[in-house]
Amino acid sequence: MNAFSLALASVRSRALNASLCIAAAAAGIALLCIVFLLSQAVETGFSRNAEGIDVVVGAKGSPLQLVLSTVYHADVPTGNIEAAEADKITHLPQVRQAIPLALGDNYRGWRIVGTTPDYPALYQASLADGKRWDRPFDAVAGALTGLKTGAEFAGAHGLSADSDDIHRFHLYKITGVLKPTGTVLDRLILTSVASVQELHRHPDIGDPDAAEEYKIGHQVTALLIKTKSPVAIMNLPREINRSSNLLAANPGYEMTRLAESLGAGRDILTILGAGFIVLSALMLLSMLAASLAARRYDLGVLRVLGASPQALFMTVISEGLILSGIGALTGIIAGHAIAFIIAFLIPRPIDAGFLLIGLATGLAAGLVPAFSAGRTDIAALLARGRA
Amino acid sequence: MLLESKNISVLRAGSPPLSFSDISLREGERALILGPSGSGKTTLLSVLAGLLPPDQGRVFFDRQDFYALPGRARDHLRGANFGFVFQTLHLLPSLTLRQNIVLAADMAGIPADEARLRHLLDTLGLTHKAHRKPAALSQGEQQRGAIARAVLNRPKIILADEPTSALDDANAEAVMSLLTRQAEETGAALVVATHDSRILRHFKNIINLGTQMKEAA
Repeated sequence: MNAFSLALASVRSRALNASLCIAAAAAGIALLCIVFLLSQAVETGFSRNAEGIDVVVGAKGSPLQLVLSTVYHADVPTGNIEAAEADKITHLPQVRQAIPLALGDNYRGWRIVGTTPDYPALYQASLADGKRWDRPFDAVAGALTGLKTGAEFAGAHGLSADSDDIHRFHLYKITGVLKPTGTVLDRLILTSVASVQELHRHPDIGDPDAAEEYKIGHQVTALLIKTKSPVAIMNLPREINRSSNLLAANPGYEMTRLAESLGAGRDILTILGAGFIVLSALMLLSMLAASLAARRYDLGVLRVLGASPQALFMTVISEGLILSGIGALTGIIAGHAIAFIIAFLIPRPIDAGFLLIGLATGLAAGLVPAFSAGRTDIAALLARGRA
Repeated sequence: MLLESKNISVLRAGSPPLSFSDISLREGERALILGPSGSGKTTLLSVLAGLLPPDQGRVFFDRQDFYALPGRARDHLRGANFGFVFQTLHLLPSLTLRQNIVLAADMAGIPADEARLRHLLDTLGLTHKAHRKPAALSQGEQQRGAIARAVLNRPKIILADEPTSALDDANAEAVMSLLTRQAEETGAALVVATHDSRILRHFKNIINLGTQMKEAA
């Protein structure tokens, strides 16, 4: 029986109160944990997907929409641009590399992207199986699409799975599957720009949008550009926006603006989490105070049996630390589980930071009762008889 | 001389100070502190046990000035050499009977003597109740448990505060014989503070606080 095991026995003898305190601490820590995991995932997702892309060039519209639709494949494109115009941009002196993207079709919601092998190379993607696309209508599938090498499918017009305008007469054939990259690439089907253009240049017979589709046959959606110098990251979009009909946007700038507007929501959740932790500290304080009142005489007996005031202090502090420690661990596990369920975030090794926040809460709540326990006036307690 | 007190007096807010006549106790001796409630029996026991520094006077344990020792040393000395029996017995409700008894060794910072623990549980008829919590024990079992805790460390002195006042004649007698037998077995001195005159006959050395109160006043 040391201070710790005495505290443990005391906690166990008050299981209901103890579990309420643990639940409150766990809720606060879990909330903080989720906010932290989600915002971290969003930020790393932002930066990983935009890696190596300095400037995006596409049709006029909202710059954020252009970035979201082409870098993150999360919105509809602003439109298409003529292949000839795109070609001019590609040959500008500031451009080190320009990767064309031709969007417009999907297979069961997975976007079919006409591009060059430079695009998967941007994300250091490698093939898990098969080979890359060579001939028209060869395609390589991202890891999450579930497509297997050798599969054949017809693309559907549009970017969502509910389109019934299917290009029946040209079937794509999967020649390879990519390893998971943790980027947007995992959700795409890659093929050559020519395949996408070819498909639209020869519309299915009787297609009412034939004329529109024929135009697409000579267009691309956007160019992902890597510039030759950091200065060009700022200058190139300015130049393109001034001198052409095209829209050039800087993904870093657009995403920073987006993150700022998302930041408010994150801040509210963080404050909520902190509020839960303060609440749990108060519950802990009230439980420890009640436990102390009930145990005054117990503590007096311990002193009579030879325990030092410091030992009594440690007993009460340990009680707070046990409760908040269990609460924090529960919260960390629950937070990771919830983050996994709602956002498929892979659990990370348990974060010592959250454990420390939990333990600090327990320490703070335990301090006053613990000092009071340490100062127990035994003689007065004994004289009064049972408290 | 095992325990000696000299010119003890304790101030109390709103009441006249308590002054106690000197006490000296040898190894194995018995003394009864007799007095009505409020006469300062528990106060005197607290002073003798190093729990309450007197406002005047000194206490010597084994010729050491008890209150000249630093607090931790006093706590340790008390834990190792004093056994206590409280009026309310007071076993900790969150611990089993066995844990309660071993607490005496744990809090004194000395290893528990397992053989002695088994012997005590056996002679007090508590072996089969050792892993029960106090709430699941009878009053008599709790009493015997409290006495086992008091004598586990083979203390040099056992202090008992009103050990019998809440008991009927038969139980009071049983507790007194247990206490005196345990004291004899370990050669411990025994000091009992009580207003219960039924147990007078166990003692030759009687310190009557009632009369002292009048002298002090």
